[in-house]
Amino acid sequence: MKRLKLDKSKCLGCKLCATVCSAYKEGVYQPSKARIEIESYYDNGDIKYIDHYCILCGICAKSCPQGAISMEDYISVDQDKCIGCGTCAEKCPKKVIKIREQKSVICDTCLGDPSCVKTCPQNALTFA
Amino acid sequence: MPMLGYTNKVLRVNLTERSYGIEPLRMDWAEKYIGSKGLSIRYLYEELEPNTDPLSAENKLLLTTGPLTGTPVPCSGKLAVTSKSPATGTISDASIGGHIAISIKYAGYDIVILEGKLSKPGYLLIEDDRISFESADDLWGKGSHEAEKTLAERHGVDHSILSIGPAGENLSVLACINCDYYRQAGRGGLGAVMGSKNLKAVVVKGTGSVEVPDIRKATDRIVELLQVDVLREDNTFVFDVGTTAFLEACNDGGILPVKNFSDTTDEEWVKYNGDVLMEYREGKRGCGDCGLGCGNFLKFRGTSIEGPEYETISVAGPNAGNTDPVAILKYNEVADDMGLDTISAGDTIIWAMEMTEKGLYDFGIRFGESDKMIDFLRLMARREGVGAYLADGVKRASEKFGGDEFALQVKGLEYPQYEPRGSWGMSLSYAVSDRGACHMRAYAPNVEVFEAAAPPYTAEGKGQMVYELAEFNAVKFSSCICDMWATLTYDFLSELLTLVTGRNWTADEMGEVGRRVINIARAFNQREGFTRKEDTIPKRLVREALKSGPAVGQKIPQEAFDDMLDQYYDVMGWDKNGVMPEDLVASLL
Repeated sequence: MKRLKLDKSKCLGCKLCATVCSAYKEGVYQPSKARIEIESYYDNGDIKYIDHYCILCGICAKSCPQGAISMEDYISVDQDKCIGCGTCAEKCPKKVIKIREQKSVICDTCLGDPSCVKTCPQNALTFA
Repeated sequence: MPMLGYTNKVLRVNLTERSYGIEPLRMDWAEKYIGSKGLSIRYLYEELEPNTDPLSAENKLLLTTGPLTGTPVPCSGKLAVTSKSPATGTISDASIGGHIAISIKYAGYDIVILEGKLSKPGYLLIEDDRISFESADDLWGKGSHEAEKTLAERHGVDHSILSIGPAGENLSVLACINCDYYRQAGRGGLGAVMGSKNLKAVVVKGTGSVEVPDIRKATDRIVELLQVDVLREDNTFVFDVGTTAFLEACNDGGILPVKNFSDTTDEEWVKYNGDVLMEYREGKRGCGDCGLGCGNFLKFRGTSIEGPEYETISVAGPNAGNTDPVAILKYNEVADDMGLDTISAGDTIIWAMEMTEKGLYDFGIRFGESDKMIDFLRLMARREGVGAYLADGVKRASEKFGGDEFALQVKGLEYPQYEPRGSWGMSLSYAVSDRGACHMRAYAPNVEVFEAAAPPYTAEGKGQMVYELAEFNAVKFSSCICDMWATLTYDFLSELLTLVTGRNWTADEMGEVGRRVINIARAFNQREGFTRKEDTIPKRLVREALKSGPAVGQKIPQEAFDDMLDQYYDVMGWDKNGVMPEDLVASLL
């Protein structure tokens, strides 16, 4: 199974990944609604990273009390079954899942062809 | 229908009243000036009374984004900080990177207009539509880095922070504004404008959105341009070594200044070249929505900086008689923290070095004294000892102490680090730049030296050459695109603006906007009394021939400089005195 990977040493913190994610998934440029959040910042004289992206660990699928989340090559959320209880978001080790309008919003790796990877200018994000 | 890409909202903050209001963007002006640089100058042309004291409550500070801000358009993460400059008395817009521009846009604003003056030190907190005025009692007097660190801990690293250091608080005309610690709105003393308003910082978090007409089509094309055009070798060298790459090119071209511009070319340049500095590299960081990432984060013996840029290397290196790379890094770190523009502060110190060497006035510092140079930054930022005089920049200091023939400045803004005797067009570029001596308005060495596309030691054709360079930069910076996208064209720019705004922009219109932006800036300055007599060349360049390097023997005769000015005014349609006809001014409004 192909998974997203981040090489921090190549990451510029440009957030283009989140900007294009929001474009294709939400129809606006709005990184706060993206399904990926990768950025860097300075802290006490060092560069630190926030790296919230889906690693396809499947914990959300296993923990969903409604059986609304499935994982094969990517994550799918059955919108009819999802009640927005937030269990998946709580359990997600990468803190990438958001609950919006009482539905779970999870990265689906653009159905196996992630736009963030195609955009990443320094190939810090890969999908392999 | 208003153009998309904009939020169509302007946040107007009255610091005196501690109040704010939101108004629609002047879309008619956006049609003429796009955003960022040009749009902010148009606003200030309208809103500032002539002869406003730059450090009074009546001056305004504009934080201006553009339609491309917050979209994935490469290199679009820059903010125009614009005000009337206390260094020059001209209009002055400085472009700052980091993530602040994008935060302001996502918070919902095309422009933040800061008016009035806080009654005591404070900072402005903007979190989307929540605006508050906070106390800076615990931050005032602190270095910019410590202030930013404190604010980031208090509000979270998802906030972007503009801050000033002690230099801005103490109204030094050399004071810059910092963002993300290591990015600066450096030139023109805009940090002192913030300081005069008792405003230590502006802290912004934005979670909103930017809408465009057909987002799938726009994003597909933007990502294609990023991958196909931006990430070409012509641009990506800045990822590897940043602007340190210019050191070798400038040295080889005979335009690397040495010892306060008394000569050019340093045989020891390899000691502080990019490859030496990059040995201390800890990591990479770029601005928001940038694909190139020119920022090199270096650490050495407790010194941490992002950079240094070519300008800083030059002014703290050969121009100060120094070859120690570690001293350059330290100089950069302390200047940033004190909130001093590395170029202007450096030029003022190296002038003081020459004053001391020549026995004209003993400032207590000589060429090569790099440790003292760093100490001087602190003295200047706090106006202590001779720093009290040097904090006012090289023009005012030379008026007081003499030595104006080797005070390298135009209109009170100190010279950037490209020696015009090896690139004559640059003397014209510095002279006619809207904010005093600036290398970002028309970068003549690219044509005259690096590409060798025009002969460097002649006045012929330089009016047109400088105009064309200035026109391009004026519209590029009004579209908030960074200089580092060196292969940008009018075709790309107009295509991107069309995709984002929904208005059909043509490549020809790009040139028209650029020309209009140059003119509105000139109109502002003209209203302040600026004419040909302020479009000057420092005496040293006219009187003293270079003693070494590829441009050896070169000086710029006054007649040649005057010829270049005549040519430029002619191209612009201004009269022999550099004054625009009234109908031209009227066409800008």
